[in-house]
Amino acid sequence: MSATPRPVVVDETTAVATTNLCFLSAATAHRQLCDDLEPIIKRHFAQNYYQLLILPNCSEEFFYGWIADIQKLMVQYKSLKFSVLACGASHLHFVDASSMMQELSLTYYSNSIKGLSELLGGELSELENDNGVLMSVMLLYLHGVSVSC
Amino acid sequence: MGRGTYTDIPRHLNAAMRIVRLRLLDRPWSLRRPFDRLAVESVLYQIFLVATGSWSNPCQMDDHFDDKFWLEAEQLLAKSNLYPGRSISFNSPVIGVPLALFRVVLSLKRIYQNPEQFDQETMEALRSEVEEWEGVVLSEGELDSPDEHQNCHPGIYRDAGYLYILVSSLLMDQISVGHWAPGAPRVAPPDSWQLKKAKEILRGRQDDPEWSRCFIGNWPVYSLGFFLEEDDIDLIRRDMHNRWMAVKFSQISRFRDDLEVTWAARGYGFDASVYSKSLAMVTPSSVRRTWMDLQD
Repeated sequence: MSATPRPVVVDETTAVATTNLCFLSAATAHRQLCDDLEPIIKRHFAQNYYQLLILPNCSEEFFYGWIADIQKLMVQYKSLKFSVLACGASHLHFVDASSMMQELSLTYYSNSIKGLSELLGGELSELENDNGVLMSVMLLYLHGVSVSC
Repeated sequence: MGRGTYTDIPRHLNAAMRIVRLRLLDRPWSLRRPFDRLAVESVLYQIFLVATGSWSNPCQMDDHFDDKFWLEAEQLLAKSNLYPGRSISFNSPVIGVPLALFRVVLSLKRIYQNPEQFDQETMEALRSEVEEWEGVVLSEGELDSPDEHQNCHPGIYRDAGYLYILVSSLLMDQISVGHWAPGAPRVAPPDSWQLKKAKEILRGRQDDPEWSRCFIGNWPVYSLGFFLEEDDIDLIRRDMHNRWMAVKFSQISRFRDDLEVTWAARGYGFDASVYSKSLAMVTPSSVRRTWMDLQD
Protein backbone atom coordinates (compact mmCIF):
# COMPACT_ATOMS: atom_id res chain seq x y z
CA MET A 1 0.00 0.00 0.00
CA SER A 2 1.43 3.22 -1.04
CA ALA A 3 1.44 5.84 1.49
CA THR A 4 -0.57 8.88 0.74
CA PRO A 5 1.53 11.88 1.32
CA ARG A 6 0.16 13.62 4.22
CA PRO A 7 -0.29 17.23 3.95
CA VAL A 8 2.29 19.06 5.89
CA VAL A 9 0.57 20.72 8.70
CA VAL A 10 2.32 23.92 9.44
CA ASP A 11 2.20 24.41 13.07
CA GLU A 12 1.88 28.15 13.69
CA THR A 13 4.16 27.83 16.67
CA THR A 14 6.84 26.12 14.58
CA ALA A 15 6.57 28.74 11.87
CA VAL A 16 6.93 31.56 14.33
CA ALA A 17 9.81 29.80 16.03
CA THR A 18 11.54 29.25 12.68
CA THR A 19 11.08 32.88 11.73
CA ASN A 20 12.37 33.98 15.09
CA LEU A 21 15.35 31.68 14.63
CA CYS A 22 16.14 33.39 11.33
CA PHE A 23 15.84 36.82 12.92
CA LEU A 24 17.82 35.59 15.87
CA SER A 25 20.56 34.29 13.59
CA ALA A 26 20.69 37.54 11.68
CA ALA A 27 20.64 39.52 14.90
CA THR A 28 23.35 37.33 16.42
CA ALA A 29 25.49 37.62 13.31
CA HIS A 30 25.01 41.38 13.31
CA ARG A 31 25.92 41.59 16.99
CA GLN A 32 29.00 39.46 16.38
CA LEU A 33 30.01 41.70 13.50
CA CYS A 34 29.54 44.78 15.67
CA ASP A 35 31.62 43.21 18.43
CA ASP A 36 34.40 42.41 15.97
CA LEU A 37 34.39 45.90 14.53
CA GLU A 38 34.27 47.77 17.83
CA PRO A 39 38.02 47.78 18.48
CA ILE A 40 38.69 48.97 14.92
CA ILE A 41 36.17 51.78 15.19
CA LYS A 42 37.40 52.84 18.63
CA ARG A 43 40.95 52.92 17.31
CA HIS A 44 39.88 55.05 14.36
CA PHE A 45 38.13 57.43 16.74
CA ALA A 46 41.20 57.78 18.97
CA GLN A 47 43.85 57.89 16.27
CA ASN A 48 42.17 59.73 13.42
CA TYR A 49 38.91 61.44 14.32
CA TYR A 50 39.55 62.80 17.81
CA GLN A 51 42.53 64.94 16.82
CA LEU A 52 40.31 66.85 14.37
CA LEU A 53 38.12 68.11 17.24
CA ILE A 54 40.82 69.97 19.17
CA LEU A 55 42.86 72.94 18.03
CA PRO A 56 46.54 72.13 17.48
CA ASN A 57 48.23 74.77 19.63
CA CYS A 58 46.36 74.31 22.91
CA SER A 59 47.92 72.78 26.00
CA GLU A 60 48.45 69.04 25.78
CA GLU A 61 46.43 68.71 28.98
CA PHE A 62 43.29 69.45 26.98
CA PHE A 63 44.19 66.98 24.27
CA TYR A 64 45.40 64.03 26.32
CA GLY A 65 43.11 64.74 29.26
CA TRP A 66 39.87 64.48 27.28
CA ILE A 67 40.74 61.32 25.38
CA ALA A 68 41.93 59.68 28.61
CA ASP A 69 38.63 60.62 30.29
CA ILE A 70 36.63 59.33 27.34
CA GLN A 71 38.46 56.02 27.40
CA LYS A 72 38.00 55.71 31.14
CA LEU A 73 34.34 56.75 31.30
CA MET A 74 33.13 54.78 28.28
CA VAL A 75 33.56 51.63 30.34
CA GLN A 76 31.01 52.97 32.81
CA TYR A 77 28.73 54.88 30.44
CA LYS A 78 27.21 52.85 27.59
CA SER A 79 25.90 56.06 26.04
CA LEU A 80 29.43 57.45 25.82
CA LYS A 81 30.73 54.24 24.28
CA PHE A 82 28.00 54.38 21.64
CA SER A 83 28.65 58.08 20.96
CA VAL A 84 32.31 57.28 20.36
CA LEU A 85 31.39 54.37 18.08
CA ALA A 86 28.84 56.47 16.20
CA CYS A 87 31.39 59.20 15.45
CA GLY A 88 34.16 56.72 14.62
CA ALA A 89 32.00 54.60 12.32
CA SER A 90 30.56 57.58 10.52
CA HIS A 91 33.97 59.11 9.92
CA LEU A 92 35.17 55.73 8.63
CA HIS A 93 32.21 55.80 6.27
CA PHE A 94 33.49 59.05 4.76
CA VAL A 95 37.13 57.98 4.74
CA ASP A 96 36.61 54.49 3.31
CA ALA A 97 33.30 55.04 1.49
CA SER A 98 31.83 52.14 3.44
CA SER A 99 28.03 52.04 3.47
CA MET A 100 28.11 49.40 6.21
CA MET A 101 29.83 51.89 8.50
CA GLN A 102 27.10 54.42 7.75
CA GLU A 103 24.42 51.99 8.88
CA LEU A 104 26.41 50.94 11.92
CA SER A 105 26.94 54.56 12.86
CA LEU A 106 23.22 55.23 12.95
CA THR A 107 22.65 52.13 15.07
CA TYR A 108 25.30 53.30 17.55
CA TYR A 109 23.86 56.81 17.49
CA SER A 110 20.43 55.51 18.35
CA ASN A 111 21.87 53.28 21.11
CA SER A 112 23.63 56.26 22.60
CA ILE A 113 20.40 58.27 22.74
CA LYS A 114 18.64 55.31 24.31
CA GLY A 115 21.37 55.04 26.92
CA LEU A 116 21.14 58.73 27.68
CA SER A 117 17.36 58.56 28.12
CA GLU A 118 17.82 55.81 30.68
CA LEU A 119 20.50 57.79 32.50
CA LEU A 120 18.47 60.99 32.54
CA GLY A 121 15.62 59.10 34.14
CA GLY A 122 17.92 58.40 37.09
CA GLU A 123 19.65 60.58 39.62
CA LEU A 124 20.34 64.16 38.59
CA SER A 125 23.45 64.18 40.76
CA GLU A 126 25.20 62.24 38.01
CA LEU A 127 24.88 65.24 35.77
CA GLU A 128 26.48 67.46 38.32
CA ASN A 129 29.37 65.29 39.27
CA ASP A 130 30.30 63.19 36.32
CA ASN A 131 31.43 64.03 32.84
CA GLY A 132 30.15 60.89 31.14
CA VAL A 133 26.76 62.32 30.21
CA LEU A 134 28.14 65.66 29.05
CA MET A 135 30.77 63.97 26.89
CA SER A 136 28.13 61.71 25.33
CA VAL A 137 25.97 64.68 24.43
CA MET A 138 28.91 66.67 23.07
CA LEU A 139 29.90 63.80 20.80
CA LEU A 140 26.30 63.50 19.60
CA TYR A 141 26.21 67.12 18.42
CA LEU A 142 29.69 66.73 16.95
CA HIS A 143 28.33 63.73 15.06
CA GLY A 144 25.83 66.09 13.46
CA VAL A 145 28.48 68.68 12.59
CA SER A 146 31.28 66.51 11.37
CA VAL A 147 30.05 63.16 10.22
CA SER A 148 26.29 63.40 9.70
CA CYS A 149 25.48 61.08 6.79
CA MET B 1 19.60 59.86 4.32
CA GLY B 2 19.05 63.58 3.79
CA ARG B 3 20.67 65.77 6.41
CA GLY B 4 21.15 62.83 8.76
CA THR B 5 21.75 63.75 12.36
CA TYR B 6 22.56 67.38 11.48
CA THR B 7 19.01 68.43 12.33
CA ASP B 8 19.37 66.83 15.79
CA ILE B 9 22.16 69.23 16.76
CA PRO B 10 19.95 71.84 18.50
CA ARG B 11 18.42 69.13 20.69
CA HIS B 12 21.81 67.83 21.82
CA LEU B 13 23.12 71.35 22.17
CA ASN B 14 20.24 72.30 24.46
CA ALA B 15 20.99 69.27 26.62
CA ALA B 16 24.68 70.21 26.80
CA MET B 17 23.79 73.82 27.68
CA ARG B 18 21.58 72.63 30.53
CA ILE B 19 24.34 70.44 31.94
CA VAL B 20 26.96 73.19 31.58
CA ARG B 21 24.65 75.65 33.32
CA LEU B 22 23.96 73.21 36.14
CA ARG B 23 27.58 72.19 36.61
CA LEU B 24 29.56 75.31 35.78
CA LEU B 25 27.63 78.53 35.24
CA ASP B 26 25.51 78.39 38.38
CA ARG B 27 28.60 78.05 40.56
CA PRO B 28 30.58 80.94 42.01
CA TRP B 29 34.04 79.68 41.14
CA SER B 30 36.03 79.78 37.93
CA LEU B 31 36.84 76.77 35.78
CA ARG B 32 39.63 74.68 37.26
CA ARG B 33 39.83 71.56 35.14
CA PRO B 34 40.88 71.40 31.47
CA PHE B 35 37.78 69.44 30.45
CA ASP B 36 35.48 72.07 31.99
CA ARG B 37 37.04 74.75 29.82
CA LEU B 38 36.93 72.47 26.79
CA ALA B 39 33.24 71.75 27.38
CA VAL B 40 32.27 75.42 27.71
CA GLU B 41 34.25 76.37 24.59
CA SER B 42 32.79 73.45 22.65
CA VAL B 43 29.25 74.43 23.60
CA LEU B 44 29.86 78.10 22.71
CA TYR B 45 31.38 77.17 19.36
CA GLN B 46 28.41 74.94 18.67
CA ILE B 47 25.98 77.72 19.59
CA PHE B 48 27.88 79.94 17.17
CA LEU B 49 27.57 77.37 14.37
CA VAL B 50 23.88 76.71 15.01
CA ALA B 51 23.04 80.40 15.34
CA THR B 52 24.93 81.39 12.19
CA GLY B 53 23.60 78.29 10.41
CA SER B 54 23.34 78.55 6.69
CA TRP B 55 23.57 81.93 4.95
CA SER B 56 21.08 80.97 2.28
CA ASN B 57 18.59 79.42 4.71
CA PRO B 58 18.74 81.61 7.81
CA CYS B 59 15.25 81.01 9.16
CA GLN B 60 16.22 79.16 12.32
CA MET B 61 18.74 81.71 13.55
CA ASP B 62 17.11 83.26 16.60
CA ASP B 63 15.42 80.06 17.75
CA HIS B 64 18.62 78.74 19.23
CA PHE B 65 20.42 81.73 20.60
CA ASP B 66 20.38 82.28 24.33
CA ASP B 67 21.98 85.69 25.01
CA LYS B 68 22.11 85.13 28.75
CA PHE B 69 23.88 81.80 28.46
CA TRP B 70 26.39 83.21 25.98
CA LEU B 71 27.18 86.22 28.14
CA GLU B 72 27.61 84.19 31.32
CA ALA B 73 29.78 81.59 29.58
CA GLU B 74 31.91 84.32 28.01
CA GLN B 75 32.42 85.92 31.44
CA LEU B 76 33.30 82.55 32.95
CA LEU B 77 35.91 81.89 30.27
CA ALA B 78 37.37 85.37 30.73
CA LYS B 79 38.12 84.67 34.39
CA SER B 80 39.23 81.07 33.81
CA ASN B 81 42.58 81.09 32.08
CA LEU B 82 44.04 77.80 33.26
CA TYR B 83 47.50 78.82 32.14
CA PRO B 84 48.00 82.47 33.10
CA GLY B 85 50.64 84.30 31.11
CA ARG B 86 50.29 81.92 28.19
CA SER B 87 48.74 82.73 24.81
CA ILE B 88 45.03 82.57 23.92
CA SER B 89 45.80 79.63 21.64
CA PHE B 90 47.50 77.70 24.46
CA ASN B 91 44.52 78.30 26.75
CA SER B 92 41.87 77.60 24.14
CA PRO B 93 41.13 74.07 22.89
CA VAL B 94 38.21 74.94 20.59
CA ILE B 95 37.74 78.69 20.00
CA GLY B 96 41.33 79.79 19.34
CA VAL B 97 40.59 83.43 18.47
CA PRO B 98 39.35 86.23 20.74
CA LEU B 99 35.81 85.21 21.69
CA ALA B 100 34.64 88.81 21.21
CA LEU B 101 35.03 88.24 17.46
CA PHE B 102 32.36 85.53 17.59
CA ARG B 103 30.00 87.89 19.40
CA VAL B 104 30.57 90.63 16.79
CA VAL B 105 29.88 88.22 13.94
CA LEU B 106 26.75 86.90 15.66
CA SER B 107 25.41 90.41 16.24
CA LEU B 108 26.06 91.44 12.64
CA LYS B 109 24.48 88.31 11.27
CA ARG B 110 21.38 88.81 13.40
CA ILE B 111 21.01 92.36 12.13
CA TYR B 112 21.68 91.23 8.57
CA GLN B 113 18.96 88.59 8.75
CA ASN B 114 16.47 90.61 10.80
CA PRO B 115 16.55 94.26 9.73
CA GLU B 116 13.87 95.10 12.32
CA GLN B 117 16.46 94.46 15.03
CA PHE B 118 18.46 97.36 13.63
CA ASP B 119 18.70 100.25 16.06
CA GLN B 120 21.05 103.17 15.77
CA GLU B 121 22.59 102.89 19.21
CA THR B 122 23.46 99.21 18.86
CA MET B 123 24.81 99.85 15.40
CA GLU B 124 27.11 102.62 16.59
CA ALA B 125 28.52 100.46 19.37
CA LEU B 126 29.01 97.60 16.95
CA ARG B 127 30.57 99.88 14.35
CA SER B 128 33.20 101.17 16.74
CA GLU B 129 34.01 97.62 17.82
CA VAL B 130 34.42 96.52 14.21
CA GLU B 131 36.61 99.57 13.51
CA GLU B 132 38.92 98.57 16.35
CA TRP B 133 39.33 95.08 14.90
CA GLU B 134 39.82 96.52 11.41
CA GLY B 135 42.68 98.58 12.84
CA VAL B 136 44.41 95.37 13.92
CA VAL B 137 44.25 93.97 10.38
CA LEU B 138 45.25 97.22 8.70
CA SER B 139 48.30 97.52 10.93
CA GLU B 140 49.14 93.83 10.48
CA GLY B 141 48.78 93.51 14.24
CA GLU B 142 48.71 90.34 16.30
CA LEU B 143 45.56 88.90 17.87
CA ASP B 144 47.48 86.78 20.38
CA SER B 145 50.69 86.88 22.33
CA PRO B 146 53.64 84.74 21.21
CA ASP B 147 54.04 81.34 22.85
CA GLU B 148 56.79 78.77 22.70
CA HIS B 149 54.28 75.90 22.42
CA GLN B 150 53.41 75.48 18.75
CA ASN B 151 52.15 72.34 17.08
CA CYS B 152 51.23 74.35 14.03
CA HIS B 153 52.25 77.78 12.78
CA PRO B 154 50.56 80.50 14.86
CA GLY B 155 50.00 82.43 11.63
CA ILE B 156 47.11 80.04 10.97
CA TYR B 157 45.27 81.34 14.02
CA ARG B 158 46.05 84.94 13.06
CA ASP B 159 44.86 84.46 9.47
CA ALA B 160 41.63 82.81 10.65
CA GLY B 161 41.08 85.69 13.10
CA TYR B 162 41.74 88.18 10.30
CA LEU B 163 39.12 86.45 8.14
CA TYR B 164 36.54 86.74 10.94
CA ILE B 165 37.35 90.47 11.11
CA LEU B 166 37.21 90.92 7.34
CA VAL B 167 33.83 89.17 7.10
CA SER B 168 32.54 91.39 9.94
CA SER B 169 33.85 94.48 8.19
CA LEU B 170 32.22 93.51 4.88
CA LEU B 171 28.89 92.84 6.62
CA MET B 172 29.11 96.17 8.42
CA ASP B 173 29.79 98.00 5.12
CA GLN B 174 26.72 96.48 3.48
CA ILE B 175 24.49 97.20 6.48
CA SER B 176 25.81 100.78 6.75
CA VAL B 177 24.92 101.71 3.18
CA GLY B 178 21.58 99.90 3.40
CA HIS B 179 22.76 97.50 0.72
CA TRP B 180 21.47 94.31 2.23
CA ALA B 181 18.50 92.03 2.56
CA PRO B 182 17.97 88.87 4.58
CA GLY B 183 19.74 85.92 3.04
CA ALA B 184 23.25 85.52 1.74
CA PRO B 185 25.55 88.57 1.71
CA ARG B 186 25.84 90.43 -1.56
CA VAL B 187 28.95 90.53 -3.67
CA ALA B 188 31.45 93.12 -2.46
CA PRO B 189 33.71 95.23 -4.69
CA PRO B 190 36.63 92.95 -5.62
CA ASP B 191 39.11 95.79 -5.11
CA SER B 192 37.89 96.59 -1.57
CA TRP B 193 40.68 96.46 1.00
CA GLN B 194 38.88 93.68 2.84
CA LEU B 195 38.67 91.38 -0.16
CA LYS B 196 42.22 92.17 -1.26
CA LYS B 197 43.48 91.12 2.15
CA ALA B 198 41.23 88.05 2.31
CA LYS B 199 42.38 86.86 -1.11
CA GLU B 200 45.99 87.40 -0.09
CA ILE B 201 45.40 85.16 2.95
CA LEU B 202 43.70 82.43 0.93
CA ARG B 203 46.44 82.45 -1.72
CA GLY B 204 49.07 82.25 0.99
CA ARG B 205 47.37 79.22 2.57
CA GLN B 206 46.50 77.49 -0.71
CA ASP B 207 48.93 74.59 -0.26
CA ASP B 208 49.16 74.55 3.50
CA PRO B 209 48.00 71.21 4.92
CA GLU B 210 47.94 72.60 8.49
CA TRP B 211 45.48 75.29 7.41
CA SER B 212 43.27 72.72 5.70
CA ARG B 213 43.21 70.41 8.72
CA CYS B 214 42.37 73.14 11.22
CA PHE B 215 38.63 73.80 11.65
CA ILE B 216 39.35 77.34 12.87
CA GLY B 217 39.05 78.63 9.28
CA ASN B 218 35.95 76.68 8.18
CA TRP B 219 33.31 79.28 8.93
CA PRO B 220 35.11 82.45 7.77
CA VAL B 221 36.22 80.86 4.48
CA TYR B 222 32.66 79.69 3.84
CA SER B 223 31.23 83.14 4.62
CA LEU B 224 33.81 84.92 2.53
CA GLY B 225 32.66 82.92 -0.49
CA PHE B 226 29.43 84.91 -0.67
CA PHE B 227 31.23 88.24 -1.13
CA LEU B 228 33.39 87.16 -4.06
CA GLU B 229 32.83 87.66 -7.76
CA GLU B 230 32.92 84.77 -10.18
CA ASP B 231 36.58 85.31 -11.07
CA ASP B 232 37.67 84.75 -7.49
CA ILE B 233 35.49 81.88 -6.29
CA ASP B 234 37.98 79.20 -7.27
CA LEU B 235 40.05 80.36 -4.31
CA ILE B 236 37.18 79.28 -2.08
CA ARG B 237 36.51 76.10 -4.05
CA ARG B 238 40.14 75.09 -3.75
CA ASP B 239 40.24 75.88 -0.02
CA MET B 240 37.04 73.92 0.66
CA HIS B 241 38.28 71.02 -1.42
CA ASN B 242 41.56 70.87 0.51
CA ARG B 243 39.63 70.98 3.79
CA TRP B 244 37.40 68.14 2.71
CA MET B 245 40.34 66.01 1.64
CA ALA B 246 42.15 66.72 4.91
CA VAL B 247 39.34 66.02 7.38
CA LYS B 248 36.30 64.54 5.61
CA PHE B 249 33.87 66.44 7.81
CA SER B 250 30.34 66.76 6.45
CA GLN B 251 30.25 70.40 7.61
CA ILE B 252 32.61 71.18 4.73
CA SER B 253 30.34 69.61 2.14
CA ARG B 254 27.31 71.41 3.62
CA PHE B 255 29.13 74.74 3.41
CA ARG B 256 30.29 73.95 -0.08
CA ASP B 257 26.76 72.97 -1.21
CA ASP B 258 25.36 76.20 0.18
CA LEU B 259 27.95 78.24 -1.70
CA GLU B 260 27.45 76.35 -4.95
CA VAL B 261 23.68 76.85 -4.85
CA THR B 262 24.15 80.58 -4.27
CA TRP B 263 26.82 80.90 -6.95
CA ALA B 264 24.62 79.01 -9.42
CA ALA B 265 21.70 81.34 -8.63
CA ARG B 266 23.99 84.29 -9.37
CA GLY B 267 24.78 82.77 -12.75
CA TYR B 268 28.34 81.79 -11.90
CA GLY B 269 29.49 78.84 -13.94
CA PHE B 270 31.08 75.68 -12.73
CA ASP B 271 34.75 75.50 -13.51
CA ALA B 272 35.04 72.87 -16.25
CA SER B 273 38.23 71.58 -14.70
CA VAL B 274 36.45 71.02 -11.40
CA TYR B 275 32.96 69.95 -12.43
CA SER B 276 31.60 67.96 -15.33
CA LYS B 277 28.39 69.16 -16.95
CA SER B 278 26.49 66.11 -15.81
CA LEU B 279 27.46 66.68 -12.20
CA ALA B 280 26.49 70.30 -12.46
CA MET B 281 22.96 69.06 -13.07
CA VAL B 282 22.93 66.55 -10.22
CA THR B 283 23.41 68.03 -6.81
CA PRO B 284 22.66 65.59 -3.99
CA SER B 285 25.27 66.08 -1.33
CA SER B 286 26.42 62.47 -1.47
CA VAL B 287 27.28 62.87 -5.16
CA ARG B 288 29.06 66.11 -4.34
CA ARG B 289 31.09 64.48 -1.64
CA THR B 290 32.09 61.66 -3.96
CA TRP B 291 33.05 64.18 -6.60
CA MET B 292 35.04 66.23 -4.11
CA ASP B 293 36.92 63.04 -3.29
CA LEU B 294 37.80 62.47 -6.90
CA GLN B 295 39.34 65.87 -7.42
CA ASP B 296 43.00 66.10 -6.70
